[in-house]
Amino acid sequence: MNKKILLLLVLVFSIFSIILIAVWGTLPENPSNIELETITIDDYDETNDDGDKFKNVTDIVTENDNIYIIEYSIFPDNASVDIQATTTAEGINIQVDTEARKVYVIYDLQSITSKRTITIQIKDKNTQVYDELTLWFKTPGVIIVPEI
Amino acid sequence: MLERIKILTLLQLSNKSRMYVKGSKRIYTHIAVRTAIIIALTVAVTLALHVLKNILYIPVNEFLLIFLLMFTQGLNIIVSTISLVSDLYQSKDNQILFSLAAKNDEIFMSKILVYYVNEFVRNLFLLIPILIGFGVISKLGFLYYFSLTFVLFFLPIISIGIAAFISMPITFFLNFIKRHNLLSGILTLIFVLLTFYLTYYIVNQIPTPIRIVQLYNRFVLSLSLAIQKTVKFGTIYTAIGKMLFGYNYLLNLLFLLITVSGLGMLNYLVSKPVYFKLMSFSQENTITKKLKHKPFETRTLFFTFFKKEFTIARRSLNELLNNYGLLLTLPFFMYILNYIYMGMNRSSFGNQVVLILNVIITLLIVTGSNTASATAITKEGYEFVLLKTAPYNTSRMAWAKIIFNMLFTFLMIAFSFVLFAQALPVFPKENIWLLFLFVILVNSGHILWSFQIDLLAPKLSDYAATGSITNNQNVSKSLSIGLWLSLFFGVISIFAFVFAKDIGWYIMIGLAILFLLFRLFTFHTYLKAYFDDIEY
Repeated sequence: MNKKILLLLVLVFSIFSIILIAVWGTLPENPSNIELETITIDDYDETNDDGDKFKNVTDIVTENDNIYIIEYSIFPDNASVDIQATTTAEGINIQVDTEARKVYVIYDLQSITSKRTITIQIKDKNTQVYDELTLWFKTPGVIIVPEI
Repeated sequence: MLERIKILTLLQLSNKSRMYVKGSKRIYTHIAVRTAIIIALTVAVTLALHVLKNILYIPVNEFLLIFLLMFTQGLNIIVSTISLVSDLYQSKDNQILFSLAAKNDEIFMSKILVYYVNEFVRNLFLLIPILIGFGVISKLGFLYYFSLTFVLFFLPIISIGIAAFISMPITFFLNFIKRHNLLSGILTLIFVLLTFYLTYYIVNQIPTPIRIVQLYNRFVLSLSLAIQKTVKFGTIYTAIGKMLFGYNYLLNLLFLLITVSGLGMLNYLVSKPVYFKLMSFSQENTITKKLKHKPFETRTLFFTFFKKEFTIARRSLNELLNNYGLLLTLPFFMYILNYIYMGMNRSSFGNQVVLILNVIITLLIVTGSNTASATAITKEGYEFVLLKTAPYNTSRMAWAKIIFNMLFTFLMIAFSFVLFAQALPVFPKENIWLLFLFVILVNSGHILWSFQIDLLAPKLSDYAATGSITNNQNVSKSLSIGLWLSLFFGVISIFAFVFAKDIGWYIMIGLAILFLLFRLFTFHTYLKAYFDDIEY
């Protein structure tokens, strides 16, 4: 037995103690069963004729700042939700902070230099309600052509 | 000049490396074993990156590689700085090297080269697995693997270059501190307080009420974001990362070459005028002690010994930190754990479990800090024989040492509890101070018990021969007893706080008093019976 082993024991015991209280020492959760009606992404620049939302990320997503944050809101505010964010684009990682109601879109360098356009879908898995946002590096003079 | 640096480097390398007889095949075994280790590590890192990418969903991209470079090289810089302070300025071989027909800067450069060779070999075990693992996971091409070959040579130059430069002001500072013990103590206190404030600030970022699953998700999210954002501060490592992935290849390569040569020049030019001065002032025999005051004469033998303990503590702060360093972690453990406990929506049973866990964890840390008593007589070494020839009741020395240990731990524990009470007002104050009283009583009993272990089996001759208490059995026994005491009182607290909660604290404190009185009685008896019989 030496001090290093003792310190390790204290660390292990500390982690064990947190798990112990979390499992046996807490009150049961009281989940609300209020159903979600809408998910909305408010921050976008323009929409096309189909109502798809677009956001220009030029100068926001750069080689030194590869994260774009999408904020969303839900209605009713206390609805019971299981939020999931997805994209089909490669080289993009998505992380969801359900507490802060934010979706972090993490680009890799390849996606930034090739100015890849991506669509993010934020969906509640319980009700299948969703909203989408397309992030693109808009070049001057480009207009959005509606799908026929 | 170059010839002299080469000879000096080879001279030191031959002294610090494993040598093989010319033509011996053992060198091939040595290389084969190390290659196998590197291959095994590469497979392990590749699997770990696969887990990060596909199970934890942490983005494995260029930015993660830059972060890993910054993290590993940052650690390398810290370790190299500590090693170089010792190797460059405090090493025993300086006395030989400086007597040779070589200039100061040539010795400096040779020492840096020796360190570079060792660092390069060490880095192979770290960088090859990480960089190749990354290449495999990200399916990278020829240019990446080609660039790796020279990056492996340049990365140690950068970390050693930065470390060598930083080591100069650090050595100057250490030399200054060595001559001002009080300042050293004040700085340690400020460091502990600042670290506690930083812990307080970070822990307060955890949103309450705490839900463990959400906390885990938030942790992974924060980790991912932090990793991705550090790229802004990567400087040369960002350039290396981008170069490896083929972005602005030539520009980043040029930046790398300029940085490497710049660091080399900077170290050479700065070390030239200051290296010898710093080195000579780092040697022990350069310390000049001036006796300013007439020694204070104490009236009793007890105070003479008690004052001696303070003098020893003041003169050897490192040893003091070694003995009581674990106690410094007490406020951190108490605050972080209780913040998390308090942050959860606890049931009444949960509140009782919190008290039980506080008893166990606090006792574990506190009783682990009484090793000074478990080696109190042992550390007297050869001087103990001289001490016993004095025509006094020298057993009072034992009480002086015990009171010093009790006083010091009392102050440290009180400091921890005051910080804890201030930082976490939501924790019931009554419980904080009852726990404090209980811990002080049990700890005092454990100090007496630890001293008794050393009293019955002091390792005087071992310590006199080695000057070290590493692997000392008495320390081991003291720590083991502390562990069992914590578990014993933990079990008692289950009974006291769950089944007899109205009188829970009375039971705990009553038992602690009984324990202390019993230890006091046995210690006093053993001291009277055995102290005079202790032999070298």
